[in-house]
Amino acid sequence: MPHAFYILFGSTFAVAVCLSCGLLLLRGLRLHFYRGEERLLAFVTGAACLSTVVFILSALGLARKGAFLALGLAIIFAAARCGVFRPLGDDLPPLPRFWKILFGLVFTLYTVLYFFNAMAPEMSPDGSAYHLGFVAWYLREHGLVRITTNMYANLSQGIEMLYLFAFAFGRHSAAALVHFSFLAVLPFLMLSYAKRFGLPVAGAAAALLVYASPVVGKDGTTAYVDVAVAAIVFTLFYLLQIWDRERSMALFIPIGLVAGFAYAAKYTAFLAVPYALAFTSWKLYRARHNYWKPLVIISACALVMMLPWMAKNWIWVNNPFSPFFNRVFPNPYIHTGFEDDYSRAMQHYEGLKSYIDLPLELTVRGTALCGLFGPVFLLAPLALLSLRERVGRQLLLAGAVFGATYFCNIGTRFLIPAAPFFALAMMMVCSRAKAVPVMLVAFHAIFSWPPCIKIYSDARAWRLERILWKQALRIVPEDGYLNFKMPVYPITRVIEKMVPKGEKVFSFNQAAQSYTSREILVAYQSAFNNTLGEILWTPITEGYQPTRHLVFRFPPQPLRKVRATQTAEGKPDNWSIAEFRVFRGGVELPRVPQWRLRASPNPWEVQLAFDNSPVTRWRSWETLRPGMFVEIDFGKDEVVDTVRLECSRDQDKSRVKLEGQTTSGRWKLLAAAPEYVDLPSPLLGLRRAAAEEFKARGVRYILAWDSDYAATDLRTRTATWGITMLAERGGARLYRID
Amino acid sequence: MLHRVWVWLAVVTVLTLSGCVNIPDSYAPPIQRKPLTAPQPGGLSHIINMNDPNVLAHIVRDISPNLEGGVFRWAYRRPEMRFALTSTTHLKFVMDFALPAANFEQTGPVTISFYVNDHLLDRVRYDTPGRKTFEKEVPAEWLRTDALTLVATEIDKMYVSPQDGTKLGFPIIRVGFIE
Repeated sequence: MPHAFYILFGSTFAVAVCLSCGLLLLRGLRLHFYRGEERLLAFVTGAACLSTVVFILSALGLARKGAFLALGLAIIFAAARCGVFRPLGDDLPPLPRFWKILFGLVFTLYTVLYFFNAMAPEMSPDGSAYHLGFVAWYLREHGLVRITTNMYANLSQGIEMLYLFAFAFGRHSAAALVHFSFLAVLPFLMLSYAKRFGLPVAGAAAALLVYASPVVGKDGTTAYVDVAVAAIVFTLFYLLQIWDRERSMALFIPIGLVAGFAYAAKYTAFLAVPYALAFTSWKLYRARHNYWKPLVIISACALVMMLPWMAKNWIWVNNPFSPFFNRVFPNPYIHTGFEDDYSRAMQHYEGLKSYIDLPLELTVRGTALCGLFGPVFLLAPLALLSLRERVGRQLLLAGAVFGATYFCNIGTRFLIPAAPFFALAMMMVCSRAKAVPVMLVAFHAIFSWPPCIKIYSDARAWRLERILWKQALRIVPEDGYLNFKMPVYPITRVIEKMVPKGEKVFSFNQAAQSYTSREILVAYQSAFNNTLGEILWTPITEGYQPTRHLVFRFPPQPLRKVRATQTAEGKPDNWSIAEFRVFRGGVELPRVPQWRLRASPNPWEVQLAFDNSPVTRWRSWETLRPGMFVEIDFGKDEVVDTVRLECSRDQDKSRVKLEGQTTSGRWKLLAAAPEYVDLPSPLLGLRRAAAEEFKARGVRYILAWDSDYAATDLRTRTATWGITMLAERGGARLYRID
Repeated sequence: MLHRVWVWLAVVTVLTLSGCVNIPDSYAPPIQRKPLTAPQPGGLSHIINMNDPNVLAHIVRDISPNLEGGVFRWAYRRPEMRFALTSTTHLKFVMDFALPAANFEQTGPVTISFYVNDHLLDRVRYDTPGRKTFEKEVPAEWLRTDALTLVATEIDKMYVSPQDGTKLGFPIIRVGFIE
């Protein structure tokens, strides 16, 4: 029970501080709202402020429970002193009595379900792996940490800053409850907006459709961020609509802050800023008012929210928008080829056979795209009929803007930010017939309740299962529950126990990073980890082994530089060189420190072609194109007659020529094509060499799941690899490199 | 006034951000790893495909000099090959071969004995025709790195061609040692 108390304290305290911040700001700006809407808008606006304050504290190394407690109490005290908790303003137009009861009933039922699920031990894949993984890490280190081995650390973490605040007191579940608070606020935001703009019934119905939606409930009760993003962008929309009606200059400040906060919460919500700027400037332009000042205010406020994340990334990983745009901002931390693959993977989920299946997957099935909105949303096209009305056009425009990034990642939850707009527009149309919204809400509320979902959804759909009140109150112990329900948890706890502090564990799959203080390097999450993955695969993948030698012979001559240049073009091959050797009279020239090595692309890993290791290779990490090169500058003239490139066989389309720079500085062709010599494969000694490479990179532990490509080989050839299995839990094995 | 704000904002942003980029143009050679003793092109290796260019250097006896179908050579009663090893621990002897159905009809099930440096590694009975792989770990003490390693196989029943009386063992595809 004390654990439950800390959870509730952490989350409630975070929410109270957000609310206090927001009320202080809105009242300080002398903005007047209706009684019912002020606190909702204040909560989201205040969350933006608290998020940035927590970022600053973390940047200063003050991410400590004591600092958060003092800060929070000071803000609440200031808010109380200023009397901002006293409600002001007129009441919003009332909801019809029947709808008040229906809304209250459905909202209460689903709130009970959601609250206990959010409070139950956190076991969502991304929440337990990286959303809270970094939060726990920051708290341990009392501040932001430069992480170059996990691309997710470079995503904006505006919501995670709120989680950090709550996590300091109540750990994982407190953070999830903060997300739940956004979930609970969202339907009231929708309802208030609808009441203000004369659509109370449509608003109540749409709010319930969104709130009861299985994917919204599942996402909003974990430490994900999508529902929070939905609440943020809806708040922005709401504020803009209020501004459009009232034209209060002071509104530009919360509008800018909330627009910037959308970016800080999730990259895909970056459109909030251009949307706010375009909306205000268009309205002012049409009214023939000066629009520069509002633009400056909104931009400046948005930048206050956005710049910290851009600056952090620029300073630490040379790319303000990491892990994306790595071609524009080249850096050693993310391979451009990986970015391409990742983007493609996000646009084409494996389980989805065709885009024609999207509507059914998004609304009914729920497995391929991880979640479902419920069958009622098959009626979403009806929303187009709302185009006849101004409010409908505004809603659909906002829905289109915030849904525009959906095809960057077609997971169902990426549509959550756009869902409130489409639901409102849809219900605007449906509420023209009195009984229709009631029927739709009743149908949706019944068939979104956990036991009813499985009647129509896929068996493995991503959804809530039941009310976890015993787990939430920790009557069922957290550790026991997670051991039983969360496949990655047991091995993660083993890692915590068996891997010494400060050591790193390599894995091909994500583990529950938030439940261990040992860093888990996941193969796909950074350039460094990509290389580790390749090293581990080379001994068991003949196509990766350097068994094809490209030998360039030419008359002995003094050269200042030699350069191997790619001349071919073609997908999907990448160019790679395991070893680049230079000879004179059959004797290899020793690689001396005076040499300077260059490569393009991927210059940072050129040393992998000059380290004598058969399990490492410089790789272009881009598909073949003419002009790619690897070059040696000898620093002086060297007489050379042969160059040998030891390459892998997984690059059939590659064609290479050799050029040299003469003493006069002129480049000349030394050999237009090499002689190809194939060695027998597989080579011996590669497993041990791979293990040594891991150790040389400071990685002494490997976590392998039985489904991993390398798993069987690691398990059956431990002596050959030079590894020892330490533990096995639920199909995952932890090895130590001896 | 507004223009000035924008200009300052742009200047400060560019200066701040450009100061953070520090990407080296070139690198010195890294620490050199212990080189792997890989087989030299043209020399004896630890494993050989029957279509590799220097396979004849590995054949000691009882294997046809002619490559068939681009991938295999016929073995006779006791084919023998030699290999150069760079290590002796955790090695498996591996042989990819085939038992053609047409031959099998005449011979019936066959038993093949596998020898490494005259030690009997295993004796296996094959009851069905088709492509086969034999793979078994070899005790390290049977192997040497300072001398060539001889491997041999022996089939109990030879196929005799009804046309010309030629005696054939089985087609070999790949022989050698893996980890």
